[in-house]
This record gives sequence, C-alpha cells and structure tokens, in this order.
Amino acid sequence: MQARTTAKTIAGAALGLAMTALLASRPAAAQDKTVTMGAILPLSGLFSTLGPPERDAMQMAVEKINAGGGFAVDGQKYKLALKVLDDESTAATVGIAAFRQLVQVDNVPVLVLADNTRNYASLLQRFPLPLLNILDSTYPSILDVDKHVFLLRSDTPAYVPGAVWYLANVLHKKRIAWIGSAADPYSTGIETWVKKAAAEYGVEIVADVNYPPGTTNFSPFIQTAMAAKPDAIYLGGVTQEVLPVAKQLFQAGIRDLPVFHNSGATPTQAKQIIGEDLYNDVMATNYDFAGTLPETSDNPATKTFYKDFLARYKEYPDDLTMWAYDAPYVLIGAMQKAGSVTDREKIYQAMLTQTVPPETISGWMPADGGKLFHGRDAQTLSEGVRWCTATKTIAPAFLYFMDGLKVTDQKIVENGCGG
Amino acid sequence: MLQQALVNGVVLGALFALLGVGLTLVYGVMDVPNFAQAGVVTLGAYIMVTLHQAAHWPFFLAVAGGVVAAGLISVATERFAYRFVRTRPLAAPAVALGLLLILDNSALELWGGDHVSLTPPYGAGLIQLGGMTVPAVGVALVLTAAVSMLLLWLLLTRTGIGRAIRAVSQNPEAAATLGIELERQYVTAFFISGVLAGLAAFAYAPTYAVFPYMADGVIFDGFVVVILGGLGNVWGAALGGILLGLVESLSAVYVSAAYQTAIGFVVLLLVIVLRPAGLFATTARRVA
Repeated sequence: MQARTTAKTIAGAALGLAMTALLASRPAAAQDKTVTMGAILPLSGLFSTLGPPERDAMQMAVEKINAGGGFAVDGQKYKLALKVLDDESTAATVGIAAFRQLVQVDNVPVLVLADNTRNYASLLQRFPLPLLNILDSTYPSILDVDKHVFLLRSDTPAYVPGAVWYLANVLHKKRIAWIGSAADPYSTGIETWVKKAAAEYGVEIVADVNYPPGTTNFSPFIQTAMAAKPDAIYLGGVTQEVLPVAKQLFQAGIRDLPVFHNSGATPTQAKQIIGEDLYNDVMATNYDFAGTLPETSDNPATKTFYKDFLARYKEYPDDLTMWAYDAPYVLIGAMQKAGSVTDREKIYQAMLTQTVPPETISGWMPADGGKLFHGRDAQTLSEGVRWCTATKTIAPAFLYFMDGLKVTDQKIVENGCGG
Repeated sequence: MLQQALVNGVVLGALFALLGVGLTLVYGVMDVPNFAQAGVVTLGAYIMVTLHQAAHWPFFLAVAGGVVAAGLISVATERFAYRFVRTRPLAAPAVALGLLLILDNSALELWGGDHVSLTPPYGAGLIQLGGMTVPAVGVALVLTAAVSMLLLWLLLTRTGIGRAIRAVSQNPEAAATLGIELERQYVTAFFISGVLAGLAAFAYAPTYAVFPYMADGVIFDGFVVVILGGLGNVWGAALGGILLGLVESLSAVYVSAAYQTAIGFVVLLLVIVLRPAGLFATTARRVA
C-alpha cells in the first residue's frame, strides 16, 4: 500500500513537471503581454453620474477584446487592461495626482479623460501623450488645450443649437429663460451656443440667470427667471446640476413649461436624484439634447450593447457610455496603425489619420478619407429625447446634424413615446 | 415679486437658523466652531434615506431614526474628539475640520458619491398664499425650524437641563462648584445640536439631494448666522438666520443672482466691523 502511494506521488510530480515544461515551451507570441490604458474619471463627487457608466462601458469593451483573443500590434499579441483612477470631481488636485500616477509612474501609452481637461494643460505639455476625451464638450473647445487632445464626441456647437431650433420650430416657443451654473464651463459653453442659436432662429432670451457655485436653493433664480414670463426654460450643466433645478422648478409650481437641457440624464439617474415618488412628474416636460442613444439605434451591434449593458449594470446606457465603449477600440486601432504600444508620439500621429474602427458602435460620421477624427473631433448625429410618462423613460424626439447653425439630416419623431 | 422674494427668504432663512442654532449652542457651551455639524447633517440624511428606502420604514419613522442617529453621532464627536481639546481652544477649529472630513468621507465610503433623494409624502405639494406659491417642502422647513426653536427655548429656559447648560455656558467653573456635572452638560449640548442637525437634514434634503458634501457649503451660512446673532446666542442665531435668508433672497432678485452668497458675507463683514459682538448681543453670555 505504502509503495503504491509513493509511486502515485512520484507519477503525479512527474506529470506536474512535464506540464510545467510543456507550458514553458509555448511559443513566445502565445504569452500575451498586457497593455494598460489609463483613465481619470469622476467616480465620486459632483460629476459622479458621469464616471461610473463610462468606466463600466470601457470595461465591457476591454473584456470583449480580451475574450476575443486580445489584439496584435506588429506581430505581437497583447491583452488590454484598464486602470481607472477617481478624480473625485476635483481635477485640480486629485485629478492632477492621478495624472502623475498614470503617466509618470505607470507609464501608460494613452490616457482617457472625461472632464476638466484644461486642468491638465501644463502637465500635458511636460508629458505629452495621446489624450482621448470621451465627454468634455465645453466651449471654447478643449481641443485648444493641446494638440494631443482628441474628443470622442461631437463638440458643443454640434448639438446645442439643435435644441433651440427644435424649441422654435417644433414647439413654437420664442421666449427662453436660461438658468445655468456660473462655475461650470460645460454650462457656460452651452449658454454661449444657446444665445447664438437664439439670435439665429428668432428666439428671445428673456432671462439669463447663473447661480454661483455651491447653490442648493434655486428659488431666487427661479423667481428671477419666471418674472420674465418665459414660454420655455433652458437649464445649463451636467445631470447632477440640472435635475435638482428641475426638481425645484416643479416644487415651485412650474409644471407646464418645456424644460430643455443637455445633461444626458438617464431614467435611472432621474429616479435616484429626484426621488421615486416625484421623478416621473418632474421629468414630464423635460427635453434632453445630446448625442444619439443606443436605445434608439438601428445598428445591431449598438442594440446588443444596449441590452448587455442594461442587463449587467441595471442602468440605461446613454450616449457617453457608447463613446466610452468605443474608446478602447479607437486606442487599439491607433496602436496597430502606429505599430507600437509604447511610443506615445507614434500613437498620436496614428490617431490623426486612423479610420473608424469597425467594432465601434456610436455611429461615427467619418471625415474625408474615412478618417475617424474631423481634425481631432469625432462626430456623430445628435439626438433630442423627450420624457414618456407612461413608460417612465425617454424616447427620441429629434435626430439632426449641425452644419454651423444650419440643421441638416433632420428627422422629427412625432410619436416617440408610442402613444 | 417682492412678496415672493420675502417668502423665499424666510424659507432660506429658516434653514440657516436651524443650522445656526445648533452651532451657537455648542459654541456657547464649549467654544468650539463645530464645522463637523455639516457632516452630522449629511450622515443623518443618509440614515433617513436608508431607513426609508432600503429598510422600508415609514417616512416619518425613518426621519425620527435619522434624527436620533444624528444626535448620537454628534455626541460621538464630542466623546472621541472635542473633549480632548476642551482646554486647548486654539486646536478646536483644526479638530472640527478634521472631523468634518472624517464624517463626509465616511458617507462617501458607505453610500458612494451619487446623489440620492429623500422624498417626503408631501414632496409635490404646493400652497398658495395670496398671489404667492410656496412649495410644501418649504413650508415644512419653516415649520420644522419654528417648532424646533420653540422647543429648544422651552428646554433651555423651563427645565433643569436647560438651566444647567446655561450655567455651564456662562461660567463652567462656578457651575461645577454648584454641583453641576460638566461632562453631562457637554454631552447634552452636543446631543441637542445633533438632533437639530438631523432636523435640518429632514427639512433640507427634500429640496435638493443627499450626497456626501451636501451641507458643507450651507454650514458656512450657519456660521455667518452665528456671528450675526452673537456667539452663543440662540435667539440671535434664529433672527440672524431669517435676516441672512432675506438678504440673500432679495439681493439675488434685485441686485445680482451671481453675488447672492457674496452679499451675505458683505453683511457679515459690516457686522464684524460695526458691531463685533453681533446684532443681537447681550451683556451677559448666554445660550438662550
């Protein structure tokens, strides 16, 4: 018995050694190296509605890429990894530290950002690398910050004027009250283009109110805006700025005016921020104009993404989740074109001329020669959505593309809510 | 327009008063600028949301739970931090700021950074007063502040607990000589202050949202109120709160919305220069 046990042990050890030797003798190319893309996102703080879905969407893409065997650059196979650091919505301090960690310490070849790009301008000059922003459409454009900045979404002038056009020509409203956030460049950029579009389309801005940072009681601003007797209200800012104002508008009894914004708020976020008992009533008059939504896309790959994301995260994916999902494919495409996973300058040069990666789902409208970036801005159609009280969700109201202040490729959806 | 601005100012002022009274009570007893009160408001609000939405407690029971919890958290700040710097008042502001960071980041760690909502059953209600419209949540805020301050005044003036707190506020050594237990009064003052923070959370959260830094901005208005009213002066804080609310509301409508908060601080500077002891200062120090 003792002898048999010893023999089994020896045989097992020999088998183990043989397996180890076999594994060690695999071709070098089969031992995939890993390329890490860095990202700085607002996972907490004021802009925390933005960061987590972007992280989740990028992670989905990374997992799909790796499940498909990774990607090859210059004959070498690689796996992709994603390292996300939280800037806590304070880019000037926490974000800067995160930049140093990813770019100087971790030495990532490319960096993904979501907001506050101007905070990184001086660091970007000292440590140049391709920087792909998947959200920051403030005005003046962040593309002015540094030549290494790319924007993976349509910039402010590409979607804000369409909202004013819709107000004037579809809802026939001619008196807008603006309520925005004085400290948020996203809000002030929207305000600039609302005013330009209003002048172009014969709409009057009857009230122009910007609340200071840290405001939580908007009643004086709402009162000032309503004193001008507007027939529509335009709110500036991101989801966590816009929805509390919308809530206080409703609580103040303003319940029959259309409320426009460019927040990209999802039904889940509306429910969470406004509250389960109120959100459907508050959102009833809301219109949100930004990028196209996966929910309303005809592209099968986009529809699959929509279903997978919703099933996995129990959260409606919106435009920014599509852009985030596409980011890894864009960066891989650039590295493949550059023939390098480490040379930041080569990857940057490749990004300038790369074509639209076929795996992307956002519906990028290519520039001349099929290039992804128009200069350094990737563009899609824009979409206005309205709230549907029966289903407590959003539905398309308007699809469009802006050529300057001229609306092109427009499609007005009369019955988006289906009833 | 003026009437509506006045009503808005009273609603805003009621919140400032509610925060200011809790701050001035603690300052009166212990000379501590209790910045951590903002963190207590935040944790109280999160506990209410959790009890109501996750544990499915009825709304007002969840609020009661949150208010009591806020009182206990406030006591914990005294027991675990402030009492060690009681004899070193110069260290108190640093401790207070440190506590605020701890409480805010505890909320961030426990509940995450997303905004969530505390919605009362009357959240959509509107009340018409003449030609003015007042949100039900605003009326609730004013009523909460008024009832809280009335009860606090009765507690401080008509009960042995209140007399003991006032005695410690005026002269702790003399109070101790007379047999008043100082430790108990400190704990009691912090508990009351925490309960007021919990009530502020209940009144304030439904108008905006609950998130880890929800009260960090508004607590500075609370301190303006404390200085306007005279340090340690409860009624002064109440009146100072209403005054500041009116100033901010009227200036937003008639001067510039962008300078609403700044104008409040201009008033503060004027008071510090012209009447350093506060608008409602008395010759004797008191917390009632």
